[in-house]
Amino acid sequence: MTLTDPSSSSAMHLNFPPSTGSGVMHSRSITGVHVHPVALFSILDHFLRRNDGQQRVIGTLLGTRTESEIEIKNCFAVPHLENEEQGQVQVDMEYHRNMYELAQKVRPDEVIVGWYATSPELNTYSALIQDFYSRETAPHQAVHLTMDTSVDGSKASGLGVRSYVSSPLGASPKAENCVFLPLPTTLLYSAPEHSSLNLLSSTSISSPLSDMEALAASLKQVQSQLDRVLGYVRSVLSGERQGDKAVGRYLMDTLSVVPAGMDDTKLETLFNTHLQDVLMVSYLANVVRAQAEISSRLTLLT
Amino acid sequence: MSAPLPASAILSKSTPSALDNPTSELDRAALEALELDSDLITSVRLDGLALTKIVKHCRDAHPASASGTLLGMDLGGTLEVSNVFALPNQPRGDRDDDEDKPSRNATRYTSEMVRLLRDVNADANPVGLYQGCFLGAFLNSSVVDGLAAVAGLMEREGASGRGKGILIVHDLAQSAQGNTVVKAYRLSPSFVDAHRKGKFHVQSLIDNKLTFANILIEIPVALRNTALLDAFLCSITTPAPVPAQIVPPSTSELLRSPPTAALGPSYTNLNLALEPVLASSLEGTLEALEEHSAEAGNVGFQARQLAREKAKAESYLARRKAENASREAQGLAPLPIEDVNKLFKIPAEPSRLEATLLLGQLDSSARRLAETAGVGAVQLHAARTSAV
Repeated sequence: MTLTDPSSSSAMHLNFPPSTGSGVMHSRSITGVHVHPVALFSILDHFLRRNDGQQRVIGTLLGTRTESEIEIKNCFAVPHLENEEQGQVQVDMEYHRNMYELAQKVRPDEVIVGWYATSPELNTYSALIQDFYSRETAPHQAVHLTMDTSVDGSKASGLGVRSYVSSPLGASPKAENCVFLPLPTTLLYSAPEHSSLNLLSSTSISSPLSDMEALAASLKQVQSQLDRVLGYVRSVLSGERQGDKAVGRYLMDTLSVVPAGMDDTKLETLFNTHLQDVLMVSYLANVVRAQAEISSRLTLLT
Repeated sequence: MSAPLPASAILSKSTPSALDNPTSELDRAALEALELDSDLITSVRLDGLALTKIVKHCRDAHPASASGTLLGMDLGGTLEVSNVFALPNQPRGDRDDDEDKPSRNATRYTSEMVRLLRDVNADANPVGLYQGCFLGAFLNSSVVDGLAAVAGLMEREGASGRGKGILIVHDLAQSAQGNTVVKAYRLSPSFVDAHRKGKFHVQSLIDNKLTFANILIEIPVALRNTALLDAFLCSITTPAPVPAQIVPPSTSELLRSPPTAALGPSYTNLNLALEPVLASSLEGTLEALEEHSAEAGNVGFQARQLAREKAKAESYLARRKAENASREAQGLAPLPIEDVNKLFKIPAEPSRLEATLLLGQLDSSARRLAETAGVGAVQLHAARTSAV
């Protein structure tokens, strides 16, 4: 995974004096970018549906910003045209405005934070588009997120995500001259999203599971992991393998979490009372369902 | 000579269409799709992007309910949902002055969005709705009306769109507990008939054999990712390789930063803290129960009023008839009896739709409660066998 380039976390942040050229005044530099999976998935989908012959696609990133960090929560595609011969780039601004208006109706708190492109390359057009988005996000800085969509096995950077902020460059600031400063980028997801991502990434499952099946699968997984650890510990104890100190420390920490020395009968009563509650609730729920069913049948009888 | 053969065999097995005869296969698939443009959706294939968007919207909107439109196409009975977009929540305040305003707003929003999405080559056919719910209950009149509206829209566009609108339901509470479940439903034909007539009194319920259980028909859902999405998911679930260093990392360094993937496995569904979930599920069920009993009281009151008015009208009629008979005996002209309709306003028979839907809500939240309790019991047993 190349979400965070190891070198980018130690990126040097250069603060240029606020320039009047692009109308951007940034008092404080952004130190990190968090991306939600939805945005990345949408970018991939947009790339798959690109027009014939299009090298890359771009779009607007929506999200929220705090003092120093940006959270990219959503994005939408924007049609654009790069003209190689004339060195021009056209972004459908009308489309961008309309789409933003619609997005605002659903999530008023998600504002424009920048733009994405599906090529790791930063060129003159990137600078021009960055200039446009900087005006949209003024007085804040615009973030540029690139996603490498080439799944070439020879390159290790496949499907890597990077993000940048820009600073104008040169004695007299021009729109097409700027330097892109890399930012540390992390993936951010909530608990519900985590479970859905796990479901999607498990290759063996093709349809959603019921709660019981999911629980069984989790238990089996834990069981197999315990077996693996047990096998490892045994082989270390019998001297077949050299023990890894880090693994040993992890095991120690984990085992110390288990409440030891608790009275067995106390534990037993705790479990039993809890179980009684649960069974009672289950009984009640089934009674309610039966009543509902009877009630609906009675309506049909009269 | 014989060595490469199995490999190619496996290859052609995994991608059946393209290898040996691409064009004819494609044509055949297209033809099949055209011919099998059946009038029934038998399964739903949900794209990973669509699922993630639904989950995100439900979570962001949490205390309020979230709903949106599904985009996709029907391929011979299998509905491929490739994208979704969220619909703005209706402001609760100004509902009474204009009853059909929210649905009209949603329609306008949908058409605008579809027009824009078409420009970036996204699938732009609305095929249904999604609805987020919390703890099971999702069936309400706005869902049913919206679904009927989408089905109507599809019917106008395609020849055989009848009853094709799909409802996808996602339970946020379940997702938060660690298991994402989406269910797909479509309206049953008998409900569509009743809805078209707009009558939901007792006789029409009996005629159409409608209960809460057969308003919606459940359809199996399959998940599918595009190849690129699969690749991306693989890359974020694989731990990053430790970069080569001249000095091997020390134990304390490894302890501080273990090699983790950007997306680790989650064991939320092994969490034993059941009380909050059970308590809020119970609350939800009780709320549904209360709402239903209030609605049942309403319907009962209306029915009694109806019976009372009818009885009054009948007694008036009987009196007038007796009077007429006596007048006839005296040789007088009979009094008119048609004015009974003017004198007594017989109220319309109460609609049972709301009560039925509330009963459905009650049932689904009770079912959810039972499932939660069942899972809880299993968890407790699993924990006890390991602890004792």
